[in-house]
Amino acid sequence: MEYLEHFDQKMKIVDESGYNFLTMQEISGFVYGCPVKDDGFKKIRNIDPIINENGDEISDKYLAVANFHTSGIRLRFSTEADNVIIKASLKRKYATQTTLISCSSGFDIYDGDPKTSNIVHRYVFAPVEPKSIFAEKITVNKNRFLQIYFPNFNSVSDLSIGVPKGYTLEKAPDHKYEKPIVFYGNSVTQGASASRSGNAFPNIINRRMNVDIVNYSYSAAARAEIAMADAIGTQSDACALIIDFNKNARGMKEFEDRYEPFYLRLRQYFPDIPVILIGDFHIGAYDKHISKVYEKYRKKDDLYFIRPLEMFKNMDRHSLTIDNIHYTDKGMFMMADKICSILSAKI
Amino acid sequence: MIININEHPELIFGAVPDGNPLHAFMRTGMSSFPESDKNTGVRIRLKTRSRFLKFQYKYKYVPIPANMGQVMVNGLCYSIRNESGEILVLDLVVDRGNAFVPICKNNSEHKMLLYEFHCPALNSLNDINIEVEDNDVEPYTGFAYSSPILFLGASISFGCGATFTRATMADIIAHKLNSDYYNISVQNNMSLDASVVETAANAIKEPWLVVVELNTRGVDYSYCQTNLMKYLETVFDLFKNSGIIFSDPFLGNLGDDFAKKHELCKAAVKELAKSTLRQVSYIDGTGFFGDLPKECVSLSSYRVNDYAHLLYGERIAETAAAYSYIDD
Repeated sequence: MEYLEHFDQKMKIVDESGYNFLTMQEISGFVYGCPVKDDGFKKIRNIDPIINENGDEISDKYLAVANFHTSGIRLRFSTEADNVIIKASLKRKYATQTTLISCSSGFDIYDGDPKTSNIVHRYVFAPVEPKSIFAEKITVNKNRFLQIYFPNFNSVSDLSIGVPKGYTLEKAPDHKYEKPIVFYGNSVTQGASASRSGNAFPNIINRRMNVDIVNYSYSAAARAEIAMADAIGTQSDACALIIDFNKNARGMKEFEDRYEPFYLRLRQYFPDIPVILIGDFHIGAYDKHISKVYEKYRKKDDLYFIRPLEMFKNMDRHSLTIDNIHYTDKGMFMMADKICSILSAKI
Repeated sequence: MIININEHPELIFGAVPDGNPLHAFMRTGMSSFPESDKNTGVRIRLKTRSRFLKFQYKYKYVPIPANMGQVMVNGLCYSIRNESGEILVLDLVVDRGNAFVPICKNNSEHKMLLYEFHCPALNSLNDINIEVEDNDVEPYTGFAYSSPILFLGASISFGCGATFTRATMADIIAHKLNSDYYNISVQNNMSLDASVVETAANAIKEPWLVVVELNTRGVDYSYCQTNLMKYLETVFDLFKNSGIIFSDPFLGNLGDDFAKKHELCKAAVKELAKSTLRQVSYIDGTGFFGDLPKECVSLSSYRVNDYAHLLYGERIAETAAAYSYIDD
């Protein structure tokens, strides 16, 4: 990996004259899981209605920052070239509190088999503090497509892919399902504390089920606004929906006031698909109300409820979680397994 | 009252104070030892009935490598338990501009609370202050063993790839066995270097268990042939009364001549164990993960993640538990 002072700086590791560098717009067709690609990579095009609904300066700030975080976004392409270069400029230069840099700012590289759609991990590259502009030359393995997960807790300010002259990028095979799974959630769903970006549970599900995903997760700002439900409903189609709303609510009253209306508003956009509600991992304070909503609608709707407290009851939290909120890879794989076991029979 | 931890070595675990306040947290007390000032495995453990506890630490900022996080480099993670050992709080502290950070503020019933702070693996803290209500502070001990575990090894034993110190293999093993420990691992170089073992033996007397990650990564087969026996014999000689668990460098099986090095190490350990009739185990790094996909346990081709640390920790703790060294 080569660190750069400026995005347009000439690189030392490669002779740039041998490559065509494609811009963010030129590669947008190979970018998956990103609802808005023509104004930076971001989740919701206009967050003003959400901000108006909250009127909470701190929460709004987190929302605005996380709206540009690239969790769930992937590059996916094949090429006949032997290698490509990824040049990236990230907004944040420093680590986050609860994750490794390989999760917050890492590009996680996988090889896909076009015949079987199996996707195998290769390595992750991420900058050291306090670097944020860098380039990495990636070898392309024969008869494999590349799938590259973007950072979970950082924004990609600029991105370019260098393709050797005479070669092009081609579409990788389509996912198995026509529509994506849509996630709405908090910092855990955004990827904390997976060890690297590909190990956030939505990304694991993307690989396990060979399904596209869109991850509308907002660390510290997942507050289930009606305007958020409208934004998700108007921007994304979905084959399934995962809702991980609990601890970011500003108190139990806000949580109870918002949970059911948020669910019902999303159901207006997605009336017939399976929806999974995820409960509280911490102390279970929110589970009672989620359970009430679940019981109310489960006979009418295609609805499921995952209780993390139940799932993790035999796990020693000493080493599973840094702060009793964010679980590491073991938890991420357990959550992915649970969701896959529900959805693989449903979609 | 404010307690300066440097003045209370009885509250410092996993470090060997050498009398110099600036070096209170050295792992070996020998400045010539590589990375001796790094705090991996160093903990502050205390119990108190104080209604509140505030924490302050000073450190020199270290830029964070790509496979590390804030808590492993510039911060601390901590736990608070009740007298039964039940977890009440798990959380972290990252620099707040040298301010006193409230860790506990609601122990109004003066219950005895057990605090454990894990220092950052890759940093060198030399000033920690704790503010409590009065002088009611004691070391938090209560270990099942009267002597500690000693970890000798390379980057995985050091903690690389884990998100926080409680998630490192070494801490998981010690936690599961309820044992104190010293982590004298070195991240790189020093492969099969007997002088590391000698340094560790000078600093840590009579551990009940020695866990050795044989660092054969980055060196070739002939280097291993030349240096392995001296290294192993030094471990056997200097820790005569300890159980010993050796392991391959995990994920090392992806290296070109790993299989040959693995066979060499395994055979040598077996031979020594037989001739000395010692309680020795060898954890085979090649087949360790079974059918578990590599993506679950790796950051890259040779870097492990939290999941792998957990699996190693569980396996080694299970093996060690069978040694039956529990004190009465």
